[in-house]
Amino acid sequence: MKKKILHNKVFSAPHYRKFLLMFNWTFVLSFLFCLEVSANSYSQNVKVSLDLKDVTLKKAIYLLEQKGKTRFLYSEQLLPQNTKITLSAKDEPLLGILNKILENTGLDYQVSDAGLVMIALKGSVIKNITVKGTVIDDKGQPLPGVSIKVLGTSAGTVTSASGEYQISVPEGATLVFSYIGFLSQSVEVGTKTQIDVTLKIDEASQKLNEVVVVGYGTQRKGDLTGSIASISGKDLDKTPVLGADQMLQGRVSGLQFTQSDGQPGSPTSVRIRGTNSINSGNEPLYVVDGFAGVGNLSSINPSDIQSIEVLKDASATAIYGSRGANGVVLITTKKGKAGQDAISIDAYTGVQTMAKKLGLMNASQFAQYLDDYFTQANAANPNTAVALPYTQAQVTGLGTGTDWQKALYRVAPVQNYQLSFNGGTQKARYYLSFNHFDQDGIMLNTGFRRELVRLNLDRNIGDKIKMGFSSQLSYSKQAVDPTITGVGYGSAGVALSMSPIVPLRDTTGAYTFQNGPLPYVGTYGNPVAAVVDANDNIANSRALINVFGEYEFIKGFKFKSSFGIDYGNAIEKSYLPSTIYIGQATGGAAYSSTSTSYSWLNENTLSFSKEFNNIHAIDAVVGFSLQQFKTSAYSAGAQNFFTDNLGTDNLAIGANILTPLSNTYQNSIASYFGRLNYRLMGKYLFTFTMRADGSSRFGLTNKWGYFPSGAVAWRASEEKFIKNIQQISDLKIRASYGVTGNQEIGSYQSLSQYAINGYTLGTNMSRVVGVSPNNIANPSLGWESTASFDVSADLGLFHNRISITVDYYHKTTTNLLLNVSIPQSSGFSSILLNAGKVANQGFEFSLTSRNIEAKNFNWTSTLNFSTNSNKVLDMNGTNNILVGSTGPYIVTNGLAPSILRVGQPIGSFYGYHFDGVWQTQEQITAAGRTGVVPGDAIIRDLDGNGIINGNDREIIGHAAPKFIFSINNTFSYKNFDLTIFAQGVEGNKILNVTKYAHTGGTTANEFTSMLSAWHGPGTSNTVPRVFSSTERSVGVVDNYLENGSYLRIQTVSLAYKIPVPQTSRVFKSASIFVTVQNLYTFTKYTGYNPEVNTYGAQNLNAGTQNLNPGSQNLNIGADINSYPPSRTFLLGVKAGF
Amino acid sequence: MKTRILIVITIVIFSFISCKKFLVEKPYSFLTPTNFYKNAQDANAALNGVFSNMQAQAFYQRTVYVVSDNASDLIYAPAGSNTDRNALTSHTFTAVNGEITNWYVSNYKMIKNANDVIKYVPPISMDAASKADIVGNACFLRALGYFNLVTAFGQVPLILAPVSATDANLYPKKASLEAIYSQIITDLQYAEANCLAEKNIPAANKGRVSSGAASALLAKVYLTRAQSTAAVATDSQDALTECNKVIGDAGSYGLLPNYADIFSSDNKYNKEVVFAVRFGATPNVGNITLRMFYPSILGGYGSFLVQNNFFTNGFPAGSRDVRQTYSVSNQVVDSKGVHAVAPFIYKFRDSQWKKDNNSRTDWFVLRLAEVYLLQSEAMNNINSADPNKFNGLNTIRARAGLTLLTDQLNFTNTPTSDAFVDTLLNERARELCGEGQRRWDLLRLGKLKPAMAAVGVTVDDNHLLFPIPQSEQDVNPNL
Repeated sequence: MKKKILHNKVFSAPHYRKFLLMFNWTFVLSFLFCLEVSANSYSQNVKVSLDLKDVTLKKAIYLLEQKGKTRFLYSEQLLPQNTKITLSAKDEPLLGILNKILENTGLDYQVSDAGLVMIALKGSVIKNITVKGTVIDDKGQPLPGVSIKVLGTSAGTVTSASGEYQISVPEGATLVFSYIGFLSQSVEVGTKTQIDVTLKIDEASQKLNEVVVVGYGTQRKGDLTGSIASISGKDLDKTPVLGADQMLQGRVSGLQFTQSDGQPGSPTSVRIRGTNSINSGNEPLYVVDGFAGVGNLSSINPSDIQSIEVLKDASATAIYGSRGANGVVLITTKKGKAGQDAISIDAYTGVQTMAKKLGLMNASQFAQYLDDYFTQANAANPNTAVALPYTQAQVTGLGTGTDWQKALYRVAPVQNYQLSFNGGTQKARYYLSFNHFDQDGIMLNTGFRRELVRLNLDRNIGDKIKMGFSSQLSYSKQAVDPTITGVGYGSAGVALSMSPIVPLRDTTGAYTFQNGPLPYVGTYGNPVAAVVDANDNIANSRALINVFGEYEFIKGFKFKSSFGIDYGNAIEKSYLPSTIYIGQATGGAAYSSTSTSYSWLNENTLSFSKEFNNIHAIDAVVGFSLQQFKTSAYSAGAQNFFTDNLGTDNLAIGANILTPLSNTYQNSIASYFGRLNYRLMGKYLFTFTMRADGSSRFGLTNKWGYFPSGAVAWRASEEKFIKNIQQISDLKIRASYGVTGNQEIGSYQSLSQYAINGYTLGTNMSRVVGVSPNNIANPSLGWESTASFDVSADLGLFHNRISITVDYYHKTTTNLLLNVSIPQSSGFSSILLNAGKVANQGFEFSLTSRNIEAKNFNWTSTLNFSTNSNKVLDMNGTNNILVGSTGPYIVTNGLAPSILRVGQPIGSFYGYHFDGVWQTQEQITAAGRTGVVPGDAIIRDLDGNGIINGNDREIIGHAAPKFIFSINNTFSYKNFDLTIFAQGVEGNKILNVTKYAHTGGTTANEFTSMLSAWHGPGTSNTVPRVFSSTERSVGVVDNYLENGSYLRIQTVSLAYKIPVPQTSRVFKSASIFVTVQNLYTFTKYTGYNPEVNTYGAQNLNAGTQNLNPGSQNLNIGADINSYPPSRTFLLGVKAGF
Repeated sequence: MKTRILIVITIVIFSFISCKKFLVEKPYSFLTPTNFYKNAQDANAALNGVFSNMQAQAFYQRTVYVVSDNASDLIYAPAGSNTDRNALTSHTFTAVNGEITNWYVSNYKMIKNANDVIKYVPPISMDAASKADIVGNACFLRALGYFNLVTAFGQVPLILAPVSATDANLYPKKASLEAIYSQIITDLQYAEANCLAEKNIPAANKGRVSSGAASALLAKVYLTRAQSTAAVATDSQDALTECNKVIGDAGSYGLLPNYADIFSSDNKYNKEVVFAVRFGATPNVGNITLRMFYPSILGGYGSFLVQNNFFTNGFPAGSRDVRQTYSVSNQVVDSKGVHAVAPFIYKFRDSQWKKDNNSRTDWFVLRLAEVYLLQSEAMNNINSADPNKFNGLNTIRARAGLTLLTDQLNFTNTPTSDAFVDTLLNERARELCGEGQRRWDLLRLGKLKPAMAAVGVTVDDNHLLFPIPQSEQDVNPNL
């Protein structure tokens, strides 16, 4: 009982509270600070006034402790229960009063060497004994630097590097063990000489004290005013992911992650709080170790990441000004830690299998289909009738034929090895890692490989100067499907299209050359031959280097200057040999291109941090930065090779040398920025930021943009009236407002440009160079700006066993960098204007709950849930803009599948309604339609004029989900850890263009759904007759628009921690794990993968150098012959030395 | 302390180097108005830029015959192969037809480039005659664009200067037929007056517009206008005058004695060519036409086949007409022997073609044989009793091998003006099949409906002209 009371008092005493909030590295300082306070407050000469009337001895001693601000050491059992004390003292010495109290109680006190006042039976002598022990955390790791204090005195010690301590204390004293981020523990010494203590993590304080990386600095989580989600390396460690960007998936509410397809290394797309922009980029700004504008995360090694912070609201992102509107992702790599040198090895290996196959017709079914098709075609066009391709006997004899999906895909290995070294002294620290990652794709001959070295160094020079160096060198090689020449084309689609009647290999054992029988089916080459014999490799080399120096020139004032470079080189080489179908036409085609990008960044900041009287705290930073990006690329190609042996490595032997291309682009950003954080009484927090950005990308009259933001937060749980509510351990309410910008439109957009082209002139057919206008200039082109408002609350309940964050935000993006479609009578299709307005609003909810915390069993759940609703408010006065394209399968003119309409969200599908199948001619006549026959699709005649045309289209679905969610459960039992991570989206539509290609026509093999095609009145009201082209000729029809909702069991991982004997001199830790990724997907979507965005790669390119940036930005939610996703099984080990 | 502060302040200020210069965009890989239209070379490059657009597949490489011969009784795309192309043949096309959109957009792109030259070349200080020639070339190409548009779509917007972001012409209304024809004629007259005669065009510039090309196109424009609601009384007479100018310029033009020689890629820009879109082997842009027309056994795609009606009935003289065996064929010969194939257009030949997308075949816009036929047409319009109206036709027939006395056309076998028109159209089909003329010929002479009926296609009045593309109607409320 006593112990508990004392413990609580210690915990709530002001200076201890203070102590707990200190940073780890200021431990020593704070310790001294505590000593000082104790020494002042404890004095035997202190004078106390006290009025006691008939109180128990226990109460009397307690009150004296209170008044005298001191502690006595005693055992409660010694205190006589019946003794009542009455006395009155005014400004008397404390010890004198104690004397009076203890009169007639048989008790006496002694003052120890350390100044401890010990109450004991008269005549007994209190001995000093030596106590030894080890302090460990709940994982069994020794804790160095734990403060051990004798309760009520200034005496104490700290644990050594191995967590051991030794202290001499009076018998019966109480030791208080405290350590930043852990719950303090008091232990009565009694007569024990060995006291081993296990400290438990203090989730509440740890959370508040966690340091979060923010733009140009760090902040304690408790002091944040903005909406920032932080993912720590510890969480990331639990399950291996193949790429750094995949770490974001499902971990942050309000963040939607999609991979454009399943090809290893294929681009991913991240949307934070919806789509702000119609034509410029919507990807967040990536900042690695302070270097902003790092585009490609596939070259960042997930194992090197210490933490990822996702900045969501304007308060957090406005410091990045013109690049903050889409959110900012800050990545911090691991730094060396002072202490013992550590070596760790992580390795895993596994296999990937095709997660889903599509149901296609077999040979016999497809032959019957072709016969049916041409029977109907001949009936419709007797003038051009053709013979049927197969007799009935042939049809039945064909059997199942070739399964092209089976032939093209394989079980593919994946492996990853990581070796890292970490350590150093207080003055110099290092982190060095090597990584080898190798993933084969499930499609033959595709894959991704990466080698990477990271070296991070930190050095202190004296007390005032710090310098640091972080660097990464990486080389990655991606082998892609060599047949892809545009979105939606490629082997994945050809494998679905090839006739199953065609064998994989011909009678000689060679790959069958092409599809057949011509001309009844589409002309494609054998896709297996294509991926096996042709190749397309992209090799990326990258150096990312950042150095900084920091100088504290006056206490509290620091000047920091950093310089970083990001140098990248990409080389693509592809060769299509003349022996395969796609290489035959050109006689062998080789293509080689090189792109070199270089960007440098110089940042200079001045920061100031000071606390005044424990009431005011100011943390300010101002700075200036310059950044420049430059990209140069060239490409060359040749065709018609007499030998396929040399491929791209000797273009000169090609008989046709293609025109080489080269280009160079450059853009620059200059910025001034500043931030002021002000904390009042530890509970009222204010943040103001401002950034001025000048970008070369904008028109002469509009180079500079200004981006202010302000935020307030109230730590309500610091208020008395909430402190008294035991259940609430933390409550913070935040609000922010600010303006951020978007400049991702590509360079040179404001200028009038002439495009270079060629023509043929002269009797010798010489190529002459031509020049013609390529755009309409806009010298006043400026920023797109997003004003956002965020209100949110963080709530911790039951000692933070449950923590909840809720956010509501509303964003309005104005002056959109809008590619406005214009009549093509101008000779142009669009112009880029600052026009229009888009709004996003949403709600985010995240919950972490430690459901069960038992000795051997722990269960923690994390839930993220977010909604976003998007609305186009204005588009330069136009109410409708048709956008996107569907590739070749619906109608050859690529009629736009989507519409931007004022009042509707971006990503609204625009098309016709499917109302079943015409059953009889009478039905058609009664409806007054012409141009259709029974068996054709009934397209809804919206305007009722009997003619189906563009006026019969309307919005038929939305590509953006209503909400996205993820659930992560972690169970640990003894040495086992089980993680089950699921995520999904709800309420979106996918335009299944692949299905268009395989339901009707004869160019491709058909889905088995076509087996139930209409073949007479009453036979089907869902699948039109095989010869019907009504749907594909009219445009987008809603029966090709499918529900894209899904719930995916993304990761299931089981890890076992091998108990390593404390005495082991080699191993510090070891564990093994098995992981399954993409275990199962619950969805109604019939394509390969509901998490698909065929045009995602183009979305990423928005903001690079193409002249029509973001034109594909709006092509959201289309699935066109995408590379299918895989299911991955991994087995791994981790060991620390 | 003070010095420390000073050091830091100095560093900070020093880093505030001139931002203004830092933020100026430096174009590395493209031309802008600041570095273009300065001299004669620039003017030439800009003119090449007007021509360049014509090499696109969506223009003179493919769309040109998709929207003409394919939308007539001569050729068609196999059933089910391509919805847009099939719809053009069956005359069920709608405003979302991609090929119709291509034709509309490609012509306006050419007009846009021509407008730029016509506006920005005149202020350049350079040789006056060369300048006028360059502007004349641009005027011809602009006129060609508008002629293509007016024949296909009827009334369309008339844009005559580069369009800026704030221009009312960004959202134009349709112009009247009168205005469009009048502008075409004005441009062609400028070209006729300022372009070089074909014989004076240097060898290196073969392919540029000649004054004769302007005359020939003028003749066709007059004849087309003569049949429209915008007709002017002198149109046929003016057409005849222009035809005579071209035929009379023997130094520039002449009929080749051997029909096959016209189409060989080893004999390009021969004397019969009045104006052609040029193609060449790599590094030039090649022409996909061979790939589209030839059957797979020859390395083509067989994307277009000859209508059986034309193949069977189009050449009543049989193989005596060299054009029957040379222009269309239903068999091919290779090392393995003779193969029967669906009839296809075989007249374009390239000895160096590698069975790929690129042949060297030029696309004829105007050739002398047609000018003879236009001359006959004009004469019939002016005075159907004029016996000279048979001369042009007979000249062309004779060159094709129809040299018997019974092959000659005259009032005995072609007594009426209407019979003459039918005969003329048939002759044009034989001479010019696969050259992208047929639909416009049938439309001009009012015979599209009966011609299509012969291949089982009913054409309603709504499908005589192409609709303005839906995408254009969607963005321009003024149409």
